[in-house]
Amino acid sequence: MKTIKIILALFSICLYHLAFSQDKYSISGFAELDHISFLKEKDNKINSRNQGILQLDVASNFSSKYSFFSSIEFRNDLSDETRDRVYVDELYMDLFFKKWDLRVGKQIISWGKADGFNPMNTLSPTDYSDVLDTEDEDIGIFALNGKFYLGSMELQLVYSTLFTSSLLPSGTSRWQVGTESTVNIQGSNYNTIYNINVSKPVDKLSSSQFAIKLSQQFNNLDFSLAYFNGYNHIPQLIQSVGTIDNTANTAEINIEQKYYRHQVISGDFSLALGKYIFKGEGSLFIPQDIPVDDQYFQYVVGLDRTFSNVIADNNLFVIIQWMHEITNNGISYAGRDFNHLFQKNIMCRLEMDLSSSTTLSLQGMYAIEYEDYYIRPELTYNISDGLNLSLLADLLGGNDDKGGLFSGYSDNGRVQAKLKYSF
Amino acid sequence: MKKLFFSVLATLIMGIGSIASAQQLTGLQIMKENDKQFDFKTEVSDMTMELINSSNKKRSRTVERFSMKDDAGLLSTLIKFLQPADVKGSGFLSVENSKDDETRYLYLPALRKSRRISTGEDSDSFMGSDFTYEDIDEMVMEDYSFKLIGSETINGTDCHKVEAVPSNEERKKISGYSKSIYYVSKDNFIVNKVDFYDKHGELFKILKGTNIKAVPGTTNFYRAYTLTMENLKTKHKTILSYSNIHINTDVDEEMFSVRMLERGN
Repeated sequence: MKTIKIILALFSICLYHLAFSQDKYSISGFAELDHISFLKEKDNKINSRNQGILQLDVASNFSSKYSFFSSIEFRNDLSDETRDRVYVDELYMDLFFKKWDLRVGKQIISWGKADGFNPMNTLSPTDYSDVLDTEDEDIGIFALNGKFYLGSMELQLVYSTLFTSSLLPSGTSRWQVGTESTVNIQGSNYNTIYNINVSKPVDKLSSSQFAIKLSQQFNNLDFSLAYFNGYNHIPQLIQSVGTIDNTANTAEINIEQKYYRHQVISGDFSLALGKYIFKGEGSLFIPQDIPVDDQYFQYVVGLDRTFSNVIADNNLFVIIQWMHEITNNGISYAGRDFNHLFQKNIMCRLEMDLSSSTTLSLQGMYAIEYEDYYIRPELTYNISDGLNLSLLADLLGGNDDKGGLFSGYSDNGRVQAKLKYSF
Repeated sequence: MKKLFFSVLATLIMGIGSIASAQQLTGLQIMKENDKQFDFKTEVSDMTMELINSSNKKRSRTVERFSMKDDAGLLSTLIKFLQPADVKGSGFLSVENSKDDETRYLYLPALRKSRRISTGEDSDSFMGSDFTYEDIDEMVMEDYSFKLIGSETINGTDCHKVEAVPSNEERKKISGYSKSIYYVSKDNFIVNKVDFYDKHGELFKILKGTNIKAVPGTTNFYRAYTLTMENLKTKHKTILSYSNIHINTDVDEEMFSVRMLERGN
C-alpha cells in the first residue's frame, strides 16, 4: 500500500506539472482489455480470466541536455489476484553529452538481435506470471547505464546494485510446476510436505551486477560482444530430503529456489544480404556457486524477409529461426526448466496484411528433442487509429512422454480477445 | 530508401529562372531542370500521410523528417513517427552508402532497440502507402529515356507531356512501371501530374501535386506541399501533406545515427 501511495504521489506531481507546462511534457500509454478462456478446465485452477491494463507514460521534452521518463502500469486481473499490480515499469533520467549518454534509474535494458528468444538479454528480468503473455512484460532494473559513441562504434557500460528477479507463476496459476504428493525414499512411499525457501541475493555492494557491450556498425553488418557478471533472474531449484516421520508417514522435501550468480559472454550480429536479414546471437553461461549446474551455450540464428506489393495490402513478413543449447559434458536439462526451455527448437513466424486494416499472423515452434509444438494464430483488426482488436489462440501439444514444455502444458491451450487503445 | 520523396517532388518542381525557353528544351532537359531543386544540404519537414481505402476508411500517420546530403550527394534520412499513438516514437533511419546500397534501421519503442531491415525492392510499398520506393527515390536520369510527346492542360495549367521509359535492362527489371507520363507546366516547369503504367502497359496510378509554393526562407527552392497518389485498380489513395519545410537549415550530422533514432521525440 505504501508503494502505491508513493507511486500515486509521484504521478500527481507529474500531472501538476503537466497542467502548467503541457508543451514540455507528454502523456501517452495504452488501455487494454483481455478475455482469456482455456480450452480444458482444471480443478482448483483458473479456467478463464478477464484483465484490464492501463499504462501511463510521462516524458519530458524541455531540454536537449536531459530528459525524464516514467512508465506506470496498473493491472487488474479479475480471476487471478496474484497478477494484480501497480508497477513502475520504468522511472529514469537521461543525460545527453556530446559523445556519451547516461541513463540513471529504473529502466528496461533489452539486448540481442534475435526475435522472441534472446540468450543475450541478461539484464532485465521478465514477468512470467502468464507464460504465454510476455509481450511488453519486461521488468526494469535500477541501474546506471552509460553509452559512449566513437563513430560507428558504441561502448555500453551498465552497473546495478539491486537485484530484481523475474516473476514466476503463482500457486493458482496453470503454469505452476506440479509437485508430487508422494515420494519414494529407500523403497518406502511417503506423503510429501514441501518446504520452499527462496534464496535471493542480499542488497549489498558485493551483490552488484555489471555488464559491458561493445557494438560496431558497418554498411551491411552490425555486431556486438558483451560480458555480464550478475545474477540469473530465474532460480535454480535445488531439492533435498528433510525430516522423515515414519509415524505420520511423511517426508519433508526442501526446495531451495536459488538465484545464483553467473558470468555470461555473448555476441550477436545482423547482416543485410540484399532482401534478407541474417541474424543471430549466442551466450555462454558460466554459473557460479551452484552445485548442480555447469556451463552451457545457447544460440539463435535466423533469417527474415518482407515481401511487399504496390499498396502493401498483402505485405508478408517471414522469420525463421533455429534455437539450440549446447551443454557441457553432455548434461541434459529438464525440458520444463525455465533456464533451458529451447534446447533444439525451430521457430517460424508469418505476418500478412490482409488489407490496410487487418493483419493475420501465424507463429509456430517445434521442439525436436521433445517432439512437441506451440502454435499461435492471431488476427488483428485496426478499428481506428490507435484502437486495435486482436483475436488469438495458443495451442500446445506433442509427445508427453518426452517431458517437453509444450506437451506438459497441453491443457493450457486457450483463446484470447484483446482490445487495445493507445493514446 | 534513397532520396526520400525527392523523385516525386522533382517531377513537380522546377528552378525558376534557370531555364531557357520551352521551345528549346527536350524531355530530358525539362526533367533535369527539376533536379536542380534538390541540390540542398539539409531538408527538414513535417508530413501527414493519409491512407484512404476503397470503402473510404481513413488512416493517418504524422511524421517529422530530417534529410542531409554529403559532399558526394549521398542522402541520409531520419523519420520519426508522431501520430497515431500506437506508432508514436517509432523511427526509421536510412543511410545511403552508395547509389546502389543503403543501410536501413527501424526503431520500435516497445522493443527498446533498433532493428536492421532489408532494403527490399524498388517496387515495394513505402510505409504501407500507394507510393513505392521507386516513386520517392531520386530519379537517375541515365536509367530512362525521355520524350516530349505533346501538350495538355491540367487544372488550368498548360503542360508539356514528357514520357519516361526505363532505358536499360536492369531498370526495366526492377521498375514497377513500363512507362510514366509527366505533365510539366510550360510556365514554370513544375509537374502537375504523373500517370504511371504497369508492366502490361495499363494506366494504374495517378499522382497529382498541388499547393506548390516557394519554401520560406529560400529564393530558389519550391515544393509541392500536397501530393495525392491514387491507385486506379484498388481504389486506394494516399495523400501526403507537408508543413514546416526548411531547407539548408542547421542539422547535426549526428542526427542520422542509431543513437538519435532511439532517442525519444
